[in-house]
Amino acid sequence: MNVDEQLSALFSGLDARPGFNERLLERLHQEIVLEAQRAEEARRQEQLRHRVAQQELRPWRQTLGNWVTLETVGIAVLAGITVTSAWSADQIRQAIPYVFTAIGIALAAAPVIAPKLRAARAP
Amino acid sequence: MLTESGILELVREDRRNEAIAALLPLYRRKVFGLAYSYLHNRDSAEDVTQEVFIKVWRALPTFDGRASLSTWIYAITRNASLSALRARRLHASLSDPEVMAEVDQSTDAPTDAEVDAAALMRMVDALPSKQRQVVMLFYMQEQSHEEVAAMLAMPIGTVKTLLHRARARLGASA
Repeated sequence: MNVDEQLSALFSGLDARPGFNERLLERLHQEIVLEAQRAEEARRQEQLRHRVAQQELRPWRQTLGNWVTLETVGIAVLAGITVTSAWSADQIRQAIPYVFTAIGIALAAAPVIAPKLRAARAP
Repeated sequence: MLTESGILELVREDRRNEAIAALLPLYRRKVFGLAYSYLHNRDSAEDVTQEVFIKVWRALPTFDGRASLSTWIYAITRNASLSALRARRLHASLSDPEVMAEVDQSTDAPTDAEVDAAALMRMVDALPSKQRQVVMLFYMQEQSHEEVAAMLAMPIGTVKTLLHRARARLGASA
């Protein structure tokens, strides 16, 4: 056997081990799953960022406006009826300054409290 | 068996897995051989071959077709092999236990042919790295100068020169 034939015999059969294709396809399958998970996580993060950005952009007055719903108006009317039926006109007149002070404090505190409430509600 | 355009058609249709399954029989041995010619170790060469096909799978959608698919895959293989070589700092030795085991077969007393093969392996191992790579790939790839030139990104003339010098050395050593 000459050198050419010997070298052919030595290297012509060189190949990966049996089962290489199966191992590779299995790894590829894992890659596909990982890629899908990464894409899903990226999509979720993007949605979260978008929601936070939207909330930060929304003015606090709009948030306050969201609180004025049928339920809150109903509760206020009920509270009013309860107070007027339970207290006399003099008692109500005496309480008016305190009520207005409380409303003023609530309105002044709303811009500070509203973002904290939103942050507490966010997932 | 699918042609290069058929494989690219699969990629365009977002059927990458089928494209890889079609590429495997065409390129597995070539990629493995090229990686082995750099790394001289079967396990490392298999790892790099797997890495190459994963990279090809990931990058297939961005393949623009400016170079041929084979040129692109060989470039990825060379880069991955060189990275693995740098990372692992392997000693360049063809005396890989797996290859030697193939040479030795399973007989207790080696035949003359097996002794010759082991001796030849050591002689190839002693060649300068480029000559060694060319010899290995030339005899692995059905003695095609063009294929070896494409795999190593070398002019065909350089492959022929390196092969000629390697043969001369091996002939002198034999």
